[in-house]
Amino acid sequence: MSRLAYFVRETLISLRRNLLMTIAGIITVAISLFLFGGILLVSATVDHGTQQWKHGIELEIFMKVGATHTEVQTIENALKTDPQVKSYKYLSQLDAYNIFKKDFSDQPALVESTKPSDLPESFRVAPTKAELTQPLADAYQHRPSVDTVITAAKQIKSLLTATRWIRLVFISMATVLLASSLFLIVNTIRLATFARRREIEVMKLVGASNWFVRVPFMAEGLVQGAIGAGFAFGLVWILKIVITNLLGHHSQNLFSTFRVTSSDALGIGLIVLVIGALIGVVGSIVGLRRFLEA
Amino acid sequence: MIRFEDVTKAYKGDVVALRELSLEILKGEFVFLVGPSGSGKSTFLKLLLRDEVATEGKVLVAGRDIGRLGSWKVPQLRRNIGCVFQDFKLLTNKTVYENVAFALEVIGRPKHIVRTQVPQILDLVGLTKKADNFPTELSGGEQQRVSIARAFVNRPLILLADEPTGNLDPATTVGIMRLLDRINRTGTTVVMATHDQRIVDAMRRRVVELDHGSLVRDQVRGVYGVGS
Ligand SMILES: Nc1ncnc2c1ncn2[C@@H]1O[C@H](COP(=O)(O)OP(=O)(O)OP(=O)(O)O)[C@@H](O)[C@H]1O
Ligand SMILES: [Mg+2]
Repeated sequence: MSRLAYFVRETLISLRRNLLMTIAGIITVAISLFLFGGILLVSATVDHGTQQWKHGIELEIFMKVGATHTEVQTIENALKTDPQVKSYKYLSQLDAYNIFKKDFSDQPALVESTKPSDLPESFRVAPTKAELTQPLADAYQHRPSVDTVITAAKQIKSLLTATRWIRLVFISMATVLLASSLFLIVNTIRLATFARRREIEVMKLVGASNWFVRVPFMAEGLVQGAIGAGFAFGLVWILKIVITNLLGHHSQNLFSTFRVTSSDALGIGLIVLVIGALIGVVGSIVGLRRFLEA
Repeated sequence: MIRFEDVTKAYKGDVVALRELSLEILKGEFVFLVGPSGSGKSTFLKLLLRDEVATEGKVLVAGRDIGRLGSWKVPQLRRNIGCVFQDFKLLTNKTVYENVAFALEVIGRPKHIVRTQVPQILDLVGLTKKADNFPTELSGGEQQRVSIARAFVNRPLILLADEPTGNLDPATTVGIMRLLDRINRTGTTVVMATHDQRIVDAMRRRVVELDHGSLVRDQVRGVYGVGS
């Protein structure tokens, strides 16, 4: 207990002594992790909206909710023999329900009040050529048992490539910033050890264990990384709310909604916190290395 | 207690500070380490503290070859060796009491031990009245007493002193030597490097003389210089 009190006291003293460096470290950690978390969040949003448009799938045919087994069978046979169809995948009502549950995980009441039988069966179809998407969609749209056919709009396609690039750019920026925050923390710890070199000298002289000497400095790095990450977490959360509000008004079909769930934001926030703490600890270990040798 | 076996210490750049030195110091002995500047006295003490490692030969403390000690075991060694220096190495932002208590706190001694040991040791060095003063408010002799108190508060088996009276006037020096003598009488082995001819001649203890890193004299009840 008294040892814990000692560590807390020493850490606080040292943080206060290097206040400016500490703040700079915290801010860079916060900004870089926010960039990093933000791009992950945007990616998650895009992923939700484009999940079904992968592996060459260009359109999804939704049956009417009450469609009979034979009606579904007829469509399936048509797809099977259609020379314009490269492949297709059948999604049962249960599949639809599972997807629904995932998409609306933060609206338990809605999930609660929906049964698998309320949802339509569907086929995800990959045409042999992308140009055939529209003719195929038109052809199946006219069948009586089909409720609606949705296609991966051009915008979505370009969005997919765009996000890939944006992701790359943002992640490289975040990496550069993370490196500089690491550098700042290393420097803060170096300054801290320098400011306390006499104390460290005495501690080593009287036989304080290596860990005892290190812990306050490591805690100092950890605190910086964690506080920075905490801010980043908050910013990611705000971004989540902003995205939700932006998208909320024009959500399209149930299954092509761009959305971001609380669990997305929470998961990303946790990643951000872990990275922040890691950066703090790694930074202080590097900062301490030279001074505490021997 | 302390044993040097053919110890050679070379620093970077071919400076040989100690040359094939063999020596044994028994428990409870008081040894003066003398010799001209640069003869290797401080190096001798640094080897004992594992501040430096012998280039060749072995340094044994309580039977253990300390050159082969893992770095995580060095703190344990240092808890058994107190040391004082010419420049005291006191922390100016801490009071006398806090300086001494610090030595116990940082090796994880519980509070009640600290509360009983520190006043006891301050009494031993005669600084009870100055417990709440800062080092800058003390005379050189008093500062050295604090540093001795800090070195001895954990009751080490060995006390090393590197020119502890180097900055002190003769009268103050006598007081410090009395204190070291008292500590020695409790059974603590004391090794003291010094240039101070008067105290070596007055104390008549074992004298080990180094010259250019070699042992040139080892006398049981010696004086500072052979001819003097
Ligand atoms: N860290 C070091 N690196 C290189 N050379 C060193 C180092 N420390 C000491 N020396 C050299 O080793 C030799 C012995 O030095 P040492 O400090 O042991 O002498 P000393 O007897 O304590 O001298 P003094 O009486 O002046 O304190 C000297 O030539 C010195 O220059
Ligand atoms: Mg010296």
